[in-house]
Amino acid sequence: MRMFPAILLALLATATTLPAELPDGFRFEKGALNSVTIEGAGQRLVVYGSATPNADQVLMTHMRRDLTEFARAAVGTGGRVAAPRSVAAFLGDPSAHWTAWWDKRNDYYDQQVTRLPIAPLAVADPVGDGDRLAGPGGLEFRVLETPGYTREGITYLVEVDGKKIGFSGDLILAGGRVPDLYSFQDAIPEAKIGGYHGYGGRLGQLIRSLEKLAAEKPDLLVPIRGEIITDPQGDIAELIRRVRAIYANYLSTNALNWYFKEERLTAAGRLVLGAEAEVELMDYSEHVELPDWCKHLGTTKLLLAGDGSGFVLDCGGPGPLGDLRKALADGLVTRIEGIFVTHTHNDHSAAVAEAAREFGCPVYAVAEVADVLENPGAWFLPGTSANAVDEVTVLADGEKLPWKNYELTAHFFPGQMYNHGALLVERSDHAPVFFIGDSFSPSGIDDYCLMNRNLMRDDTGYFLCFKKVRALPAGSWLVNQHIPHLFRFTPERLDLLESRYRERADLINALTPWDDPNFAIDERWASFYPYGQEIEPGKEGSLELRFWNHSVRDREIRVKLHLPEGVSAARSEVSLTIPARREGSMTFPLSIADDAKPGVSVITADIAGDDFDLKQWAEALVKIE
Amino acid sequence: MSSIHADTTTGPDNTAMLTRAVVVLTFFVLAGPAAGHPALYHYLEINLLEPGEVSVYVTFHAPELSTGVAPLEEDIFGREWLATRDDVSLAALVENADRFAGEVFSFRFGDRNVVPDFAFPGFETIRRPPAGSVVPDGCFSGAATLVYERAETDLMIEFSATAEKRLMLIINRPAAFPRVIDLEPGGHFSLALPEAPALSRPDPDRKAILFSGAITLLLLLTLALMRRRRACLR
Repeated sequence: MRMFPAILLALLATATTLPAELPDGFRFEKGALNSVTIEGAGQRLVVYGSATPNADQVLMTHMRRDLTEFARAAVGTGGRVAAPRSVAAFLGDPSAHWTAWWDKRNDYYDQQVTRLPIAPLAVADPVGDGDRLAGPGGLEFRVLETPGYTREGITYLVEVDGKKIGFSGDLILAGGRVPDLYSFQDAIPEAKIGGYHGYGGRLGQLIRSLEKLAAEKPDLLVPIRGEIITDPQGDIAELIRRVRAIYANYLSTNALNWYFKEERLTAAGRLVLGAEAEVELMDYSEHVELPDWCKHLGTTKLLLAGDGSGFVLDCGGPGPLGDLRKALADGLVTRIEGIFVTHTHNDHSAAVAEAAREFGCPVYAVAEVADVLENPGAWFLPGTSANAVDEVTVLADGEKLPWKNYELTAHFFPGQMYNHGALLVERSDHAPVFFIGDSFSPSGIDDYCLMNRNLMRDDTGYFLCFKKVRALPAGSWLVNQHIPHLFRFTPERLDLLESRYRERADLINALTPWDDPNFAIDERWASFYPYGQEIEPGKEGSLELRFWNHSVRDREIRVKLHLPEGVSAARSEVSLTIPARREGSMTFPLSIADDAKPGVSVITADIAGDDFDLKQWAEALVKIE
Repeated sequence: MSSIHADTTTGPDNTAMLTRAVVVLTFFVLAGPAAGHPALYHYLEINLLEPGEVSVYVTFHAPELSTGVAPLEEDIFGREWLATRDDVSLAALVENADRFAGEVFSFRFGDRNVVPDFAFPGFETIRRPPAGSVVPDGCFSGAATLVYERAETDLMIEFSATAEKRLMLIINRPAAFPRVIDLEPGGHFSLALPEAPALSRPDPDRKAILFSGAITLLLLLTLALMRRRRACLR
């Protein structure tokens, strides 16, 4: 009898170490992207893609360009591609998108991942929910619409030898994970929240898709990357638990509770947390009226000096510019002597160039903001205005700018976005006021848009902002450009905000396969500079690929460029070692052929490290004319 | 200026109201509300530039006026969404805007409730505001004029508790910075009015009636003169 527990334990141990068994005729190849080949009756069907061409059928679960190129390699000539019906037209002709993208990338607030296909791929079998596809040897694949990670995601289900297998793309990875969090950014129409404010906007859809898939009781799930999922129910439950924890944490510290109030945030919360869930929101910190010397004009703040002159923070459009003109005309202010730009969103920056020219005043910003203002086309960030500022005087972090009866101190303040500054305003007759752009509201953190790059590192991002706020002189106030109040957090409130944010970093770290959560929230960790440039035929240019190594270990990065017709590079494969938590870059000189076709071309790069292999990851635009 | 919904308002003579709507909307489009990010607040702007009259502008973030839950189409809350709405959709949005304004805002001069008759820009102007327009992307505005009497010294503005977003209330007076009040849903604000002229300006309806009456009287006098002249000639 004493041996029975030991035998039982041995049996259990054996059961958990058995490899996933796909049916006979299914061949699984693990790679940068997984491939499953199914052969029967002389036919070859490939799920996702393959390096081996001429498959008779290729099944795509979504439209990201890494999958599209993988599918293209497999289909060769004559094969049939099945893909989500909602994106079949785009796959058939992506060129119009990229041509329009040259301009659409400006003032962009939809916040969708841009890793879309570049070359066309004809879809012979556009499929939707409930559709069935015949496969080799009498197999039948049933389609389940499972949006979440992508808007268009689908899962193919097939039953073989009593086993139900799902090919679920990027919907879920083994262990209850997903590739990243920023892909879930989207509008939440039920809560009247737009894409820009829609952190985790598709997490509700993800959960519904996972529950739908769980109801099918699949025996195995084969994702497009990583291991086969041998415990679908367990991993689905774990993923749902993880995203709920992250979203509840996010709502509990979110600045949007100041603006959108309980109804909308509760509506958003219940889509993820459950229909009856109690949604925790932060109450408001102390807030008071603005002092007389600070005027609120849209998203502009105007500081008034004793002699009637003014100093402006941000100028986001014709409205605030008109208000400044009217104030000058009415004699309320005698002249504008400077403009400090807190960050690069167009509702803060779109009229800065015009205002500076009209008022004849300098524009100031920290370095991380200045380059975006002067060279907006070189960047792809949310809401960037194409209205370039002629010249920006760069203020270093902590640099003082005395002005009239004020002492102004510039700060790098990577809160709401990485490219963000702040201005500490001190005068002898008032407590210091820290103008923090859009980085905090009286109800918390403005981190609703991951594309802004709200990094979760001790040395930057909001953790740096918390340090700076704690270091302010006692009694200091904060001001948000959208809000006509002074406000401040108690030390206890700051502790709560920071501890919750740290918890969320840990939760996100567990959610994705990366070794640091910042890879999961920073889509731009590897990005080209300039993002867009114009080069004439026969001329040369240059392209830099910039990396942020968010890991706590050094990383070797290997890059391979994919160049469009008419564009060549002196070198297209480069390696670089980037120290832990540091940035690095590599430069690619470009040449444009004399007979290059005019138009917008897209350059992409594969990026690989020892534990990742990302195909067609980063993109840059070259407009040839 | 494209066609304006104020064209269809009632009244014995729409000329005066049409003229006012054109003036109001021209002013609005070129120098109206200085709204911030349109999604974050509701915006209500009050101009007290002419004693006896209050100009009211409400800015609507159009996608939020949709009554159904829209699918996740491209740029659902941005500039392109509004630019690509057809006439039927825009008519519904304008109707929703009018109803929304009535539900969310109430105005009172002393004990007298007033209901603004909002005029909205034409559909093409809503889709594609002219260059230099201060209307934020994805938004359109309604404009109305409220007339008050000399004895009425305050305007009370009430903001419904059902509004779901905060209100940025902007009050403009001549030669003054805008006064900005940030109201929570359920809040209210009373603002002091410039003294109305001693003889209160007739309201537009009364003006139209007076104008019609004057024309009628002139015609009758002319007719009477003509008959007398014929009588003399006979």
